Amino acid sequence: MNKIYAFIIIIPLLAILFLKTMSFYEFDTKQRYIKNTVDSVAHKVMITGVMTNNDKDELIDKLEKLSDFKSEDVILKCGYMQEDGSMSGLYSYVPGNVLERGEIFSIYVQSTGESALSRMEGESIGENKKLFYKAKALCRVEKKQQEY
Amino acid sequence: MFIGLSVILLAFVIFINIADYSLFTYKRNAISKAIDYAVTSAVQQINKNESLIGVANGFIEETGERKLEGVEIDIDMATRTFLTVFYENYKIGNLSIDNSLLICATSTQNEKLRYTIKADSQLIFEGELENSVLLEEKINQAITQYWCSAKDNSQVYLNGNPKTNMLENGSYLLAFIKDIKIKGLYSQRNVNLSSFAGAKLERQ
Repeated sequence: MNKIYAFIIIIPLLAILFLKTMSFYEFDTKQRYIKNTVDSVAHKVMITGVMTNNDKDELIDKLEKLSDFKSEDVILKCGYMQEDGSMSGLYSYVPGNVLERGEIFSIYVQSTGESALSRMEGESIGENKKLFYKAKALCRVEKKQQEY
Repeated sequence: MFIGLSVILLAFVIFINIADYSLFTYKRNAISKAIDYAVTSAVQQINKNESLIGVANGFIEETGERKLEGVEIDIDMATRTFLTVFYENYKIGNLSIDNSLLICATSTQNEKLRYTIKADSQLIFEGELENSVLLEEKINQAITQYWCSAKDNSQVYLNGNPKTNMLENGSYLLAFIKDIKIKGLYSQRNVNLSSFAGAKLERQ
C-alpha cells in the first residue's frame, strides 16, 4: 500500500518540485546574464559616449541566445540632465551618434516571448503579469571634458 | 510514506530558501549597479560659480604640471542628480533612499583636501584635511553621528592601508546608503552600500 502512495503522491510531487526549481533557476540565470549584458553596453557608452551599430548587433546576438529578442525590443534613448538635477524628456538614440559628457543614455530590453517560468506558473502570477526577461540601465556619459 | 513526505518538505524548504536568497542577491546587485550609475552622474555636477576655471588657475609654472585645484562639486545638485538617476535605474516597490543617503564631496584647495558631508540636506561636517587618508575617519564619524540611534556601527573603508588609499586629493563624490531594506521571496534583509567616483576632468 505504501508503495502505491509513493507512486501516486511522492514521485509526482518530487517531479513538480524539480521542474519548478529548474524553471526558476533558468529564469534567474538568464535574467542575471541579460542585466549584466545591458550593464556592459551602458558602461561602454558611459566611457566612450557612443554605441555603434556593431555594438547593437552584438547585443542582439547575445540576447537572442537567451530568449526571443528582436531588434525593436532594444529601446535606446538619450537626453539631458537639467540644472535642477531632474531629467529632460528622453528621445530616441540613433546608434553611431556621439553623446557629449553629461548627456543621458538609456537602454531598455524586453523579450518578445514570456519566460519558461511564466508559462509554467500560468495564472498564478496574474493574468497580465507575465514574466518577461527585461533589463534597464540609465547612465550619464562621463568621458573627459577639457574645459576646466 | 512519511519519510518520503519529509524528503519533499525538506526539498521544498531548501528550494524556497535558495529562491529567496537568489531574489535578494539579484535586487542587491541591481541596487549596487544603480548606485554606481548615480554616483558617476552626480559627480559631474560642478559648481561653475565657485570653481576656478581655466588653465591659468591650475598651472604650475616651474614644472608645467596642470592641477585640478578649486573644482567644486555642487553637493545639493549632486544629491538631486544622484536620486534621479538611482530611481530611474531601480524602481521596485516603495523603496526610498532619500533619508538613508549620505553624500561626501571633496575638492582640493591650496593642496589641502576640502570636504563637505551632507545627509538629507543637513550639513554634518565641512572642513579641510592635510591628507586624503584622513577622510575615511571623517566619513565614519559622520555616519556615526547622523545615525546615532542605529544598532549597528557601519563603517566605510576607503583605505586598505595608507599606500592603497583610494581617494587622492581631487574632486570626488562618495555616496553611502544605510539600511536599504531588500525583500527576497519572504525575508527582508538590511544592507549598507557605498560607491565613489572621481570627476574625471582635465584642465585646459
